Formats: sequence, C-alpha cells, structure tokens
Amino acid sequence: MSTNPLEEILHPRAIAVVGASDSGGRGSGFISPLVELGYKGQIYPVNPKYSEVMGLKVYPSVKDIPGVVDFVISSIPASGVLSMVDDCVQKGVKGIHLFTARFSETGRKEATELEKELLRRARKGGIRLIGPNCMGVYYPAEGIAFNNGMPRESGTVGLASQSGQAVGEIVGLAAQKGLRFSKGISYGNALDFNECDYLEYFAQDSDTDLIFMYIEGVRDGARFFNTLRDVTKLKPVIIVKGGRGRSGTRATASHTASLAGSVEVWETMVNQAGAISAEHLDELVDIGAAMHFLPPILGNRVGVAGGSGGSSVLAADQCEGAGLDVIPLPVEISEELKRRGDPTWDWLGNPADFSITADNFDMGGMLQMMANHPDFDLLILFMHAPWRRSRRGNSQPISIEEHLKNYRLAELKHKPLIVVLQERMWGGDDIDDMRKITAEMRNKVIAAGIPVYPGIGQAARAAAKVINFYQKGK
Amino acid sequence: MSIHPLEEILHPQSIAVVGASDSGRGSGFLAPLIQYGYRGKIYPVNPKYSEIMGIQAYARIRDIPGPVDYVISTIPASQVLGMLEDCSQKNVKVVHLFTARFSETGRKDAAELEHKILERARNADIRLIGPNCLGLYYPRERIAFHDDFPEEPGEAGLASQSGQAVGEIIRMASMRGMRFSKAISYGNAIDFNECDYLEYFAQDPETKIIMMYIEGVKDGRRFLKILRNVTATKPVIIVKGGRGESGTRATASHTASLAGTMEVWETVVHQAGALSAGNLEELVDLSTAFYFLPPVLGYRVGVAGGSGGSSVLAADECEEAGLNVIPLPSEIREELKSKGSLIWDWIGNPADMSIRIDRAFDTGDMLEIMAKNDNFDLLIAFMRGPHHRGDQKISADAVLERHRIGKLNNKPLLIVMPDFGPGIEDDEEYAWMRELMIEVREKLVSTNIPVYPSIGRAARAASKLIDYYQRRRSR
Repeated sequence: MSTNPLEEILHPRAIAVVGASDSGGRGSGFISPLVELGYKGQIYPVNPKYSEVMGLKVYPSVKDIPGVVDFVISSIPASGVLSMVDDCVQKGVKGIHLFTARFSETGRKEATELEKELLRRARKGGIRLIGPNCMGVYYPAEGIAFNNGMPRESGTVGLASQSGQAVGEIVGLAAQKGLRFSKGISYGNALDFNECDYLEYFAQDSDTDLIFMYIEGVRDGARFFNTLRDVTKLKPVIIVKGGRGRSGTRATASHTASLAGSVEVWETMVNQAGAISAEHLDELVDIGAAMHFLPPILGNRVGVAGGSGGSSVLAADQCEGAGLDVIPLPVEISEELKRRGDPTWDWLGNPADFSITADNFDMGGMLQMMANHPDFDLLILFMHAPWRRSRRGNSQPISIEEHLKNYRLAELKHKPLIVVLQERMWGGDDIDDMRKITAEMRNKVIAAGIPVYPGIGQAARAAAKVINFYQKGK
Repeated sequence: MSIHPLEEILHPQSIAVVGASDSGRGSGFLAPLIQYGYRGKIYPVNPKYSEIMGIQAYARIRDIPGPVDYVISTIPASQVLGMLEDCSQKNVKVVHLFTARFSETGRKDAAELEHKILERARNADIRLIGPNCLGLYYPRERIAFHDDFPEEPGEAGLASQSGQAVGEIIRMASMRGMRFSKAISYGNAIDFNECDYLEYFAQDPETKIIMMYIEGVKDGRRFLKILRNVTATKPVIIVKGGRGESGTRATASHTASLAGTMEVWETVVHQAGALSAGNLEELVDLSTAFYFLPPVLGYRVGVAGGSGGSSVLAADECEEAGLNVIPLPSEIREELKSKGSLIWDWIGNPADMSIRIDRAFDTGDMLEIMAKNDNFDLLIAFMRGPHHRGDQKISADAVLERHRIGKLNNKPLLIVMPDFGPGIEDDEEYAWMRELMIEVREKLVSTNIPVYPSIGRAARAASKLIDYYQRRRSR
C-alpha cells in the first residue's frame, strides 16, 4: 500500500514560518504554539525585516535556511506567495500551509487568477498545499498547533474543517467533554488537498477512530460521496454543513469561495452514505462524545433517573421528542421496591423522580436495578453538584468524592450510561465555587468513561442520533 | 374594580410555618423569610420545640397570640385536616401546602384526603396554594422559598406547577438580568388554579411579561378566554410539561395533571396569541427578549462580529429561525469605500470580522454603521474578548467600547457570548479571560441588553418576539 500523500507531509523534520514577526499578531502566532506544544523539529522564522523572533534566528528567505525544510507555513500577503513557492521548490519543501488569504474568496477576478497560478506552480514543483485561507494543522503527537492553549494530549478524533475558527471552537468544546484529537486540519479554500483527501486520510489513519468534518462546499461531489460511503463502514463520520440557506451560501462564498449547493440534496446524500449530520458545532461535539464513550446502543428504550418534579416531566418530553422511547418502569422493578419496603414503590415511575422518594431512599440501588433490567437499552442520569450555593453563607460543602459514591457509577457501566450535569451561566460571585465544583465533578465522571451533557435535550438528541447510526449499520 | 382574590392574600402581615424545625425540610421555609428580612411577624409552629432559629415557637396555630394571615404547611398529609381546623379558628386567609403525597401518588385514599381538604378549606373560607408546591417568591414583600433568589424585584411574573422549575427559571433568568414581580409554584392546583394565576398577573401592574410552566389545565375554556385577552397587552410564554406519552405519565405522578394532547394545546395557545417554549432554557431565552427589547416589527437582521465558520453558521441559523439575513446594503459598502476600507466589496452580512486587514476597523465600527441603516430591523452581535494566551489584558469597559455598546442608535440589539465552562486542564491560565467576560456580561445585562450563549438561541428568541408583535399589531 502506498503512503497517503497527506501522511507524507504531516511529519516534518523542520517547519519554516514565512512572514514571522515579533508584533504579537499572526506573524508570531504560528511560532508560539509550536514552541508551547514542544515541536521537536527545527523552527525557522523567515522575514527579511528581522534577525531574531522569539529568540529564534530569522532568515531573509526560505532559500537562506541552512538545513532541510519539509513544511512551510505562509503568513505573508498574497502578492508575495508566487516567489515564495519558487523558493520552496528550490529548497525541496514537501508541503505548504497557506494561512495567506484574499484569493478567490474575495470574489475578485485577479485574486482568483493568482490562486490558479499558485496551484499550477506548486503542482509543477511537486509541492502539496493546505489551504489557502486557513489555520492549518493541529497534530498534538507531533507538537504542532496553531493556537496557544490547544490541548497537548492526543486522542482518537480526526477533524477536517474548512474554517479554522471552527477547529478552535470544536477542540475547545470537545476538551470539556473529554474528547481529544489525533489531528485537526483547517483547510480553507481547498485548492489542492480537498475534503476527499482529508476524509481518505482519516479513514486509513490508525490514530483516528472517529471523524469530524465542517464543510462549506464540496469540490468533488461524486468522489466525496463514494469515499464517504466506504469510510462509514469503518469509522463513524459526523458532518456539519455550513451554508445551508441563502444568506449562509453567500457567506460561504466570501469565506472559502465555496459553492454550498442545496441542503436537501446534501442531507439525503450524507444520510445515504451512512454518515451523521449535525446542525452546529455544539451538536457535532455532543454526538461525538456519545460515539466515543458509549458502546453500540441497540435500541431506543431509555431509563431516566434523578430529576425532580418539573425537570422529570420535561425530561420525558424531550427524550420522546428526540425519538427515544421512555418506557413505563418495568413491573419487576416496582415489585422489588415493594419487597424492599420502599414507600414510593407504586408511585415512582420512569423518569424516576427522586424528589418524591423517602429520605433513606437507596439511590444507588435503584440505579443498579435499572442498569440490570434488560428492557432498558440505555440510561440517562441527572447528577447534581454536592451542594447548592447560598449567597448568605449557608452552604454545606461535601467532598465530591463522597458525593459521587452515592451514585455507584462503577456498578452501572455494563449499560450504556449518559450523565446530565447542568452547567448554567454563573454570576461573578459564583465563579470560585459552583463553577469549579461542577467542572471538577464533570471531569471525574468523564474520567470514568461516561459522557456528560449540560442538559437533557442535548443528551437525548445525541443518543438518538447514535442509536440511529447503529441501527442503520445492522 | 374588585380586588383580585390573590391580591388579597399576597400581602400578609404575619406568616406561620407549621412543621418548622432548626434543620432538615422543616427549616427550608423559615430560613429564607428570616434572611430576606420579611417585615411581618414570623411564627414557627411545632409542638416539639420552644424556639426555632432564635424565634419563639408555638405548639399549634391557635396558640399564636396575634393574627395570622398566611400559613405555610410542611407537616405530613395526615395532619392537614386538623391544622385546617386551627386555621379556621384563627381566621387565616390562605394556606400554602408544601405538604404533598395526595392525588399525585395515584392512590385512592390520598386523592380522597385531598378532596376533603378542599372541602374543609372552602367551608372555612380559607384559600389554598398547592398542595405539593413551594409557594411564593415575592421580593417586594421579602418572601422567598430559596435563599439564593435575588432581593430586587422586577417585572416578570411566573406561575409554575413545579417548584423545581421556579428555582431553575429564576436562577437562569437572573443571570440574564431579569427580575421578578412574583413567582408562584402552585403544584396540584386544587383551589387556585392556572386561570387564577394568569388572571392575577394580567391585572397586576407590577408585571409586564408572564411566564408559565403548566402540566395540566383544570379549566380549559376559562384559561383560553383569559389568555386571549391578556396577550393583547402582555406577552405570555408557556412551557407545557407532559407533551408525549411518557411525559403525560410523569405529570400524573408529579402534580396529578391530565396533560391532554399536544397538537390541540399548541394550536389553542398559538391562536390565543401566547408563545410556546419547548423547555425552560427556551422559556428564559424568549422572556429575556421580551423583557429587554422594544417591539420589533421586521425580520431583517444585521449580524456582526463572528469569524469564518461562525459567521457562515450564524447566517444559516438566523435564516432557519425565520430571520431575514439581507445582503449588506449598498449604502454601507459606499460608506466603507469612502472611508478607505480595503474590504468594502468583500465584507457582507453577516460581517465576518476575521477578513479585515486593518485593525482600526473593528466590530464596533461595523455595528455603528449597521445601526444607522434603516434596512435593519435588529442587530445580533458576537461579543468577543481576548481569547488567546498572549492577548493583552483589557478592562470590561474596553470590551464594551470596542462593540460601541450604548452608542448604537437604540437599534434593537442581541448579544451572543459563548459561555464556555472550564476545560479539563488549562483552566487556571484562562481564568482571567473568563472572569473578564462574566464582568462584561454583567455590565451588558445591567444596561438592559439581552445576552445569549449561542446564535441559534438568540435568533429563535428574536424571531418569536417579532412574530408576537406582528400578530398583535394585526389583531
């Protein structure tokens, strides 16, 4: 098997950043994340105006760099790109990531022609292009990142996105849900490598077992859907389509010069190809977390527990609205509660509203019964932070560890389990306590391999899409 | 005009809490009254104690020396009938029954007891809130049932069959700058029901928007008649609990409500001119728009401050919500060109600020130009502060100034501020940015600007607001 062309450029021995500067703008922006993530190869800033940037020696042009240069990040204006490509050809560069923008996405004729000439020259010189008009590569295992603060840890999610802003947002949202990335690539106008290449790459990439995409327009529709159909047999693919309506289509043209196409056709084809469609980035990450953490869920009968009063009622509504089946509490469980002398045995239902239970109610025991019952295909559990904040100092902190023991999560894990832990906007007064306690609790649940959602609606919709995926695959 | 029966009982000179204690469930109602500084007399009632929370306790209601207007009952269901006898002797006007385990248990004897309680109360001329509810939050009278509710009153009225929902709604709405005239959790609604609460808020001069969480309606015809009248002057936003089969089962065991079919409900609520919300977040989203925005009569939206993909998805989500994301008006292009902008022919609506070359032209400039233009009925702006580690620390006021907040020609404006929780690691290094943006949000809401955590939620709230005012105008 030949090496995938992207694989060949993603392990550079040295990276040159052309247009690097000390100004604090984007010119230095690509160097500092490389340093922060501990990129092990050589970093060469290139700029005729400087001799040193961030303590690194600067070269006037790519040609002047003494050692090998495999990969170039271009942050110079579009007008300087052609001569830089010529330099790169001389230097034997394999791949160029063009942060440089203002090509066809401006809608201007001369900019579009320049873009064409750029591609022609790169092809002739044997150089592959990522972009233009994009943020490029996040590859934590190689120490490559394009924003400060991107997680150092690697994971198993592969992400290809036409928007660099979306990569930053997705990586940030996903980090809170415990998802990490093998690679995340922002690919902008997709002049050379396009969505098909990225999809094929992640399909064969052994570091990746789940694929995320944000796509504004497809360059090669027939190849894309053929590839997609093949890939979804191996790995789940979740896609957000940008440019679904009239105004969004205008916006994709000026963002990445993409022709967005009709959304009905798109939805049908994505669905037929066995991929999962998400509407926005939050939903992408919500579905991704369920895919990543849960085993295959084979039916849609859900048990819901731990809400109180109105939240239990609305939980039932939102689960049903999402397509889950909130079955009545199985009679065996009611019987067992009765045998145990529970005074609410005939009243407690599904959702199991824990606010009606007696003070000595065995919550862990109830959850275990639900987990053991074959009529439930999955469980959704509301968890609460160990104490409610009081602005008048009435709070009674309990340790998070002690609090979590009540749920006996380890005894539930043979059933697909989702946790809802409400995370609302906190005010300034709350920042040091509720926010941190909630975050710490969330982190502990995620560390136990359980996906966590801030609301029942998000949890139920993500679960329903995952179930649908597995049912189609049968 | 006669005084509304609820108005008569909502200004008690004294409150007795029956079943009070120093800790546990019995303390839950006493502590907030003390902490909020309720101005009337507070009488804890419990034969087991002589003093509770530093206040003299009485064995029974009839032992209380002064008059008692309002009683909160936290005793078991079996003792309620006896307590009502006492209340009758003391001429109590209203009893709020936190006491539960009546018809919602689905048990025959419990339902019969509930029936007897209503009968006894009616005979004694005592009105009932509940049973099975958390009762009243009335900041002007310094009455509350949780100790973290805001002390300041506002103009939103809330009636809810779930007390848990009242807590959740008030906490969420407070963060968005809303405050409440009154909020009432009314549970099983055996005496005062949804019609009474709606009618009360309709005539209440302290209330300008009405929020409801309803599981089942006791008197559908009367409810719709009142609803149709009130929506001509005050917006009413309703969440219906028990929409599907399992939710309906849950409402029966929660507040013994018959939920009814959802299609009928949606149709009649809409025909009555009220707004329907799918969950409590949406209820708060819609209410925030009504609370802060003037009547908006057109759907043409200007969006600014996003970057790249977020601008594209903003356009999609606005359009899907029913807003009209019009192309950037040509006058604006001409103005940008005359000011020497290099992206005058490229930038659009949504205005993607990541494409600008010149740092002198910021989101605020774009918003200022859009605010002046009559083609836009409203604006939605992404509010961004520093978000990279190397970014310079700036003040909250500087962030607001960058977006020209307060200088936008009074154009209806919604702000989108993603509310990221802290990540697994990397938390501490970014703490100052999060704190800064919380300060920004607090400044925004204190200047009456609605804030949303995502563009989709902002767009859906704005679109429903416009629907409401368009329909109200054509009535």
